[in-house]
Amino acid sequence: MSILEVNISNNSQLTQRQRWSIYLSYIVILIFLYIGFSLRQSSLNRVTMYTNLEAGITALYPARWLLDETGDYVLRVRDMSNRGFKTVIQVSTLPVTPDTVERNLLDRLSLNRSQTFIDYTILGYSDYFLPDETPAIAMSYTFVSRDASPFLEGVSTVVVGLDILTIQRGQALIMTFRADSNTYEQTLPIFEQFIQDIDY
Amino acid sequence: MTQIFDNRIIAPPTEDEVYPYRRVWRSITIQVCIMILISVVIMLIGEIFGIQLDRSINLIVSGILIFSPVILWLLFSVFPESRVLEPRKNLLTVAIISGLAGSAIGIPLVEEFFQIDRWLPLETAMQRILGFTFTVGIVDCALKFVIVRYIVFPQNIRMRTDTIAYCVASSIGYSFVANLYLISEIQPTYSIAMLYIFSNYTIQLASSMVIAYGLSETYFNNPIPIMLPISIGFAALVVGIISPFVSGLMNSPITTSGNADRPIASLGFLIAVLILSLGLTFFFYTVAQERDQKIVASND
Repeated sequence: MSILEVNISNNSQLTQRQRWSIYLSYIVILIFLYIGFSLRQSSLNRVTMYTNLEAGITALYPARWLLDETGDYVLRVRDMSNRGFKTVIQVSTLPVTPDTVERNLLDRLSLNRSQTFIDYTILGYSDYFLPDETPAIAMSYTFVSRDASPFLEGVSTVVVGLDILTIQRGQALIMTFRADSNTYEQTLPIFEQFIQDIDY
Repeated sequence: MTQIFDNRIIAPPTEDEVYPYRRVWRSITIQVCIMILISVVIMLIGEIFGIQLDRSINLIVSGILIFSPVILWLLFSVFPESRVLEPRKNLLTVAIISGLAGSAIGIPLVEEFFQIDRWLPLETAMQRILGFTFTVGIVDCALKFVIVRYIVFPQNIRMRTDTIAYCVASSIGYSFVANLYLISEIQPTYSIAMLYIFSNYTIQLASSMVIAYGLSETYFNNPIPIMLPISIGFAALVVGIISPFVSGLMNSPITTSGNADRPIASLGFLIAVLILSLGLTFFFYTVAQERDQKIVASND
C-alpha cells in the first residue's frame, strides 16, 4: 500500500477552514455541555402535584421521589435513588388547643424521638417565616440511622433533620426534612422549594 | 575441484520496500483480539465455572486486570515505534495527559457536577441515551479531542492513521483512569471488574475512532468546517448509546426468578460494538485513502 504523507514543514499550519472546524468544535462542545446541564436541572427539578382535600394540603414534590401516605403523617416523599439513608420530606398535622405554643409541640416530638432514634440530639431552634410571612419555628437535630436488617452489614449514617412547625386554624403543621449529613446542605434547597410551593 | 553452476538466469535480489511507520491497524487488531480473549476467559472462569476468590485476592486480580489494556497497548503500539524508521512521537504523553485530565476534570465533572447517578438511572431509555450523550459522552470526547489537538495536531500528523494512533493513546489513558476509579469505588468480583474494564475500553476506543476520523478528514481532506464538530458530537452519541445499554444489561432489576443481570450478554454486546466500530472506521479510512490516491494519480 502506498503512503500518502504530508510534508510537515510545509503544512503544519492549519488552513482557515481547518481553524474554523476547531472553533466550531469548541462551540459544539459548549452547547452540548449546556444541554447536559439543562437536562440535569429539568430532571432534578421536575415536580409532581400532591393534593389532600381532607388535610387541606396541596404541594409540589420532586417527581422522582416516592410518595407514601400510609403512616401517621399526611404525606412522606423519599428519594429512593440515594445510597444509604433516603432523603425524606414529611408533612404531618397535629390538633392543638388555642393556648398551645410551638415550643411545647417540638419538645413533645423530641421526647418521642429520643426514645426511637439512636443518639438523637437537638442542634438548635430558630424563628422561621413561611413564604406568606406566617411565623413558624425551626428545630434542627441529628441522629444515627442504621439499616433495618443486620444482614445488610451497612455502615450507620449520621442524619441531619429540620422541622418547620407552625400553628394555624387549630392545627399544627409540621414539615420535616431529613438527609444524610454529607448531602444535607446540597439537598436542603429541595425542601426550601417544597415549602415555597406548599399550600394549606 | 569442480564447481558446478546452475546456468539459469536469476534476477538479483531486490530490496523490499521498507514501510517506515508502525502499522496501526495491525497493532490495534492484535490488542483488541487479546483483550477480547482475556475478557472471555475471565468471564468463563468467573461466571460459567463460578470460581470465587477471597476478598483481598479478588482486589489484587481486579487491580492487575485494570492494567491489561495499558500493557497490551505498550507492547503492541508504543514499544514497536522504537523499531521503525519514522516513529510517532508523544504517544505516551497523550496517554498520560488524557489519564490526568480524566482524573482531574472528567470524573469530577461527571460525578460531582452532573451527578448522573441522581437522575439518569430513573429516566426513560431515550432520555438516558440523550443524558449520557450530553454529559458523560461530551465530557469524555471533549477532553480527548482537546488533548490530541494541543499535543499532536497537526504538527505530528503525517498520514491518516496517525490520528488513529494518537486517539487510541488518548482512549487508553482515559479508560485506565475511569477503570481505576470505578473498580476502587464498587470493588466488584474479578469477573465483573473485567466486564467494567472491557466496557470502558470499548466505549473509549469506539468514540476515539470517530474523533480520529473527524481529525483526519479535517486535516487531509479540508472539508466544510462542520465535519469535525459533527464527528465529536457523533462520538459523544456513541458513548451515549453504549453506556445505558451496557449498564442496563449489567444492572438488571431483581425479578421473582432471581437477579436478571446478564454479564455474558453484556460482554457479547461489547465485543460486537468493538468489532463493528473498528470495522466501520477501517472501512471509512480505506475509502478515504483510496480517494486520496486517486486525487494524487489524477494530479500526476
